[in-house]
Amino acid sequence: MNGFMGYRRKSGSVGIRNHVVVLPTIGCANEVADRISRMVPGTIVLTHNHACIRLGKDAERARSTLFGIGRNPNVYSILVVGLGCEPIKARELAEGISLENPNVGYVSLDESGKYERLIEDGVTALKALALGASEESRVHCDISELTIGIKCGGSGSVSAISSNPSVGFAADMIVNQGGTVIFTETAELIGAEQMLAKRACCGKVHDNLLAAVQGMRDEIEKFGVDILGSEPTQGNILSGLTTIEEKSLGAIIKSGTSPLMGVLEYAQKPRSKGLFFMDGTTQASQLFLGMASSGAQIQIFSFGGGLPARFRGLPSYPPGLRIVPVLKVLGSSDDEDEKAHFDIYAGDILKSQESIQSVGSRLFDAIVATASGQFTHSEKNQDYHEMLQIYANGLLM
Amino acid sequence: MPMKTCIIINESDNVATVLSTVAVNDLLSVLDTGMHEIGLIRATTVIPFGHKISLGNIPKGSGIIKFGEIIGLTRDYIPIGSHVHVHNVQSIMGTAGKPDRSA
Repeated sequence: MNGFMGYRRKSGSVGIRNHVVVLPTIGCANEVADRISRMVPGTIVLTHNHACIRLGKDAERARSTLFGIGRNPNVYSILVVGLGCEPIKARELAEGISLENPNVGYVSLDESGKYERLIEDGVTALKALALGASEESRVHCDISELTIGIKCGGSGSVSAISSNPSVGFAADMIVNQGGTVIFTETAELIGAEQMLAKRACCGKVHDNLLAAVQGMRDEIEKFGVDILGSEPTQGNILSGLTTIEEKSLGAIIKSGTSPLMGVLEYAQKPRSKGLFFMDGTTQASQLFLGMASSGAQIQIFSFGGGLPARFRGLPSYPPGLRIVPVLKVLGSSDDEDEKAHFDIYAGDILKSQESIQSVGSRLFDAIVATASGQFTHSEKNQDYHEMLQIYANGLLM
Repeated sequence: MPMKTCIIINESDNVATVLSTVAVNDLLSVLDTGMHEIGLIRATTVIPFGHKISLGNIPKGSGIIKFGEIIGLTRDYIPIGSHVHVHNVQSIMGTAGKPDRSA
């Protein structure tokens, strides 16, 4: 059967998980939100680092992140917990989320009056919101309803011939079947931006992509760093990477070969199907949160190898991933003894024992199985959770 | 012992990545991404695992093509079967691999 079994939401979007979430409006409400969640079994709290000190674009990013997390289709229902003195009030956030998910409620200290009352009101509201979750059932859904987020790490010359092209092959399969793929990490495009820009669907997307990369180069220059002069690193050169173009192309290959349909802001939802680039950070927990907030239901972490592949907890970066599972891919055959800690092992490509197409097809199958409810390695084995890190690159007052 | 291998990512590439460390005179099977053998090549230099081998004679000042894209320009004539790396290729975009920095 083509497609997968997912949760059809009232908005029309499709969830692959069915979480009941407690979301604080601001970091100051983390503790009370956590307390409310602990009192209602089966719910999870997504604490985060938003604070009143964000300015301008960073404040907008926090805003779109909180709305985006609330609207992620993997969320069945959500309770917003606020104080009353924060930049985005609980009521406003709940109303914004309700445009796509009617199973939303809020409590706020300024309305409840006292801390104890806030907890009581929160627990009552959360119990009501959790009630229908177990009655939801999975129905047949099409691959075109999937949005996949992609990141790579621990990269070297081998990831450019094993893990990253396999991920790219799976990304092409998703896009060819009408789905959506998002990748990010603006700094990783430097040196190969013209080659990615050639894949832009139109002149506007071409220009937006080059503007995003130039913006990142300007930011880096502010710190007095000549990135073109320092890349590739000595470690990269030892591993066989010759130029920054080669290094950046090896990263871009994880996006496959599809036309680029648009350039998204951090946490912005794509307006159509196909391949999208999200402008933003290379910091793993922040970018996974950004892609989750833009509507991704599943994310892929493409690993080269080396020490990062041996930090078993590292690739799962828990923030936000409690609602958006991550499939981990391992590229290096030197780290074969670690493959049990990954969802997909691509290292046999390096021994010419498996083709890129074969690994890519296995990854595609794993995506479909995950979408139908099969747990990823991290979902089964990770119980370490951190607060969400919302991306900021400006002054924090 | 099975023959050593190298892999090309795009059919227009003029370099392949070696999948084991290669000695002078080693004969390598050139594979595409489907692991089909598309040719044979004899190494003329030592090439470490994960590094690139030239699949043809490449004139000075011309493009090194990997992933179907130009990843740099040759500093010198590179004969077939050679190690292709920072000593004979320079970036177009960057300065890290350029001679003025290594001097």
